[in-house]
Amino acid sequence: MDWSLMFNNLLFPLLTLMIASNAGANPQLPGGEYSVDAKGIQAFSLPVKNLTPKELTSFMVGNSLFRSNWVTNGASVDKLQGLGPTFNARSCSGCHMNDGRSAPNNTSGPAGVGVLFRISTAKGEPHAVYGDQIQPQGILTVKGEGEPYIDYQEKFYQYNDGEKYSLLHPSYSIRNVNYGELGEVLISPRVAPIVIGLGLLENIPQKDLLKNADPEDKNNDGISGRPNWIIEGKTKRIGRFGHKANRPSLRAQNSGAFLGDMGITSSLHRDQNCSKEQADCTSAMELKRLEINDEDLERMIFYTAMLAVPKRRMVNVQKITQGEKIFEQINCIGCHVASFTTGPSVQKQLSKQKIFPYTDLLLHDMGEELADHRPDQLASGTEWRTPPLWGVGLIKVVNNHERLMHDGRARNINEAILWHGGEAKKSQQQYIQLTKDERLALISFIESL
Amino acid sequence: MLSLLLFLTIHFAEAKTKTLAPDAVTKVIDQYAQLVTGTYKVTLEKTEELESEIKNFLKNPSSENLEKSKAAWIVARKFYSKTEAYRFYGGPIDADQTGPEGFINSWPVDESYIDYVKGDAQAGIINQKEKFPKIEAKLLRSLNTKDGEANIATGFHAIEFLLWGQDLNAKGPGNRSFEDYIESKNANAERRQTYLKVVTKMLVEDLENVLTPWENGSFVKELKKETNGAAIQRIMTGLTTLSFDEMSGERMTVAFAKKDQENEQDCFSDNSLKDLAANQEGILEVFEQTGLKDLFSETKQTAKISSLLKSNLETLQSIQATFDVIVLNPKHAERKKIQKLILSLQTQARLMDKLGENYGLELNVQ
Repeated sequence: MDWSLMFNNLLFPLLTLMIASNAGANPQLPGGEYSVDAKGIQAFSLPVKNLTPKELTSFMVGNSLFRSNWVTNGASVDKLQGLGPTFNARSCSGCHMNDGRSAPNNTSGPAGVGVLFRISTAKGEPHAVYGDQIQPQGILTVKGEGEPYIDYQEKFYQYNDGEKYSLLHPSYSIRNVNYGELGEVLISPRVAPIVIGLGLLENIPQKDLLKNADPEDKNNDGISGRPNWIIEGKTKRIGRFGHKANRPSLRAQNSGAFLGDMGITSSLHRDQNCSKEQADCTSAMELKRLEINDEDLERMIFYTAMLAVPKRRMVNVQKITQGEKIFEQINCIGCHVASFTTGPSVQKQLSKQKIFPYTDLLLHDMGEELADHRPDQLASGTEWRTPPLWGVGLIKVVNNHERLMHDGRARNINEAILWHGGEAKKSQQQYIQLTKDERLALISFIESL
Repeated sequence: MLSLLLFLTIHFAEAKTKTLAPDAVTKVIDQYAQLVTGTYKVTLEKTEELESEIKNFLKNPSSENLEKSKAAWIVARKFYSKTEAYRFYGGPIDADQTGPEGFINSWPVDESYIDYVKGDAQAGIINQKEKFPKIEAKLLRSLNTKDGEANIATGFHAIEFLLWGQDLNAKGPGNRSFEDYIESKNANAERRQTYLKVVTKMLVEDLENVLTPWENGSFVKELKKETNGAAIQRIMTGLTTLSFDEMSGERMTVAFAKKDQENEQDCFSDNSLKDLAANQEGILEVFEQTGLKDLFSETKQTAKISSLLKSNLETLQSIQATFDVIVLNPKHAERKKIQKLILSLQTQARLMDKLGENYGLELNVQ
């Protein structure tokens, strides 16, 4: 009897299951009961199970809206008109390919469509002409705003055990602007994150997120996560989505992205994204209506809420178990909080689910090297939201790359860990002191999530 | 107690999943490759015929010659639609980074990007002489990939737009005048001619590039390297994804739900229902003519699938109306057929999913 094989493939998962099912939770199901079995290129594109026929229709329409190219006004296909006049991409999936993650170009030069540049004046306000985001593309008769550029500098370091590693240090600029001088601007480069489990994240009770907040580090553990409070009119809600957690809801995130990234107006963003100095932009053909109607916008929101989280991939249980211990020992778990239970919801797939996203959704100071120095609502120029780690191991299957951190500067999980600074510096230092075996075990654990 | 539980788990787990005999799988792969190669070959031939009709039309622009070109487009389109059953698993048509599916079949095309539209007579590359002095394949390929997203101004639907023009009402398809191609009647007729010639040639080239890895056996080699039925999973993924996500979902459900008159694949020619029938033919051919059906010992299940594939095909072929008309009219006589098809195309995918489950194939049908 091969006990180690038995242990790896059966006993351990079974034991976890037995313990977990007593607690109503199963870490093998990071998205709760409705997690899906998916390991291939479609891993992020599946709906949660048991949608009703009507819900499935909404999901399909949302999927269609997500994948379809939007076109210039004047087209036969009435409900896909509205692109631009300036834009970053023609469709959501242009960056969120296969409902996944985008990457910057590999070498110094044009940044590529996968990175968007948020900008602001030195004071942190939108630029008078270029707004708060550079749109490099234009419809045929409208010039794009400018070309985002990356300059990489490779720097070399070594682990405690003497083995060397390198990191790519990017610097950013915008060239060939078309609507007048840009002047001094703060640039925040951002890649598109994966689109799974968002309805679940949206449904974590606010009070549970706040339980992890400790802005004054009262418990003296070096971690001082805090919420990005977003005020919209009379409401004040915690930001959950976006690299600096500046969007409190999927409605805000989707409608904001529609306008900012593709130039699509909606009832939440009624005005086109042109400044008066952009004459060709303001004189482009406009529709006498909003470019996406409320019904379709709701379906988009539903779609982004209901993409399923893939089950854990327990490729090597021994290594993963070892890695999990290290994850806790060096306190990755201090910000990448393992689990939450979602609140009640009329949508059963989102209701009272024990989920394992490995994020506290809070802002943390990540140090000078990662800083963009551009504030965003309450987030400072050195703060970033903890991203969820679920699905991170599948990015290479879905999107054929492993570029991580807010701007994709890390070429893989190992480099992502090495970039951690600020509140995470202590953990990063401990990581460098691990043996190679231990580092690989930790990465195995993270890849399994 | 625990070890008994474990023993039973292992025992039952093993009893549940069957394996496909490797020799039988190889045979199916070979027959599948034969079918696919043959269908792409015919598609290429018909597209070359389309090219020659277009060349003739452009030499002698007339209403009659325009109709001949349109007829040739419809024929080529029929065979291309069958080949959509070979999509969705990273084969030569849509392999990451290299698959030309978007260049061939992208929808919607950005009409204003190509030519004049209602409300803007000067729209499009064709009418922008100063900005685009020379229209050539190099330009169109680079424009299409400049912003990282290919495929807005080439392929079947670009040609369709250039032959039929915009379909602005449901009374019929687009109705572009042949005089758009006559220099004395239209300021940019010559550029339009060039554009049409160039995109048609590009389409032929792209189809040649898809055929090659099938014809020279290189892709079959890759399929044969797969183990544990993975090759069969790939082949079946093409069938289930086309049935469920594309035909039932994108092309029927979405169009109806959005009540958007021209939200149909062939929005200029109103040929969409014929495309769907040809899609279904493609699926049926793979299931029946490659030995795929006989790979499985569950004859009750496979018979049910065969029967459903055939009846769905018959229903599609029987619909008397164009898609946009049915979308716009809530009381249309043929509407029930579409609604039934939406569900039974899902069923055909689910039945294949269940069949594959017996062998541990992961088809992920909802």
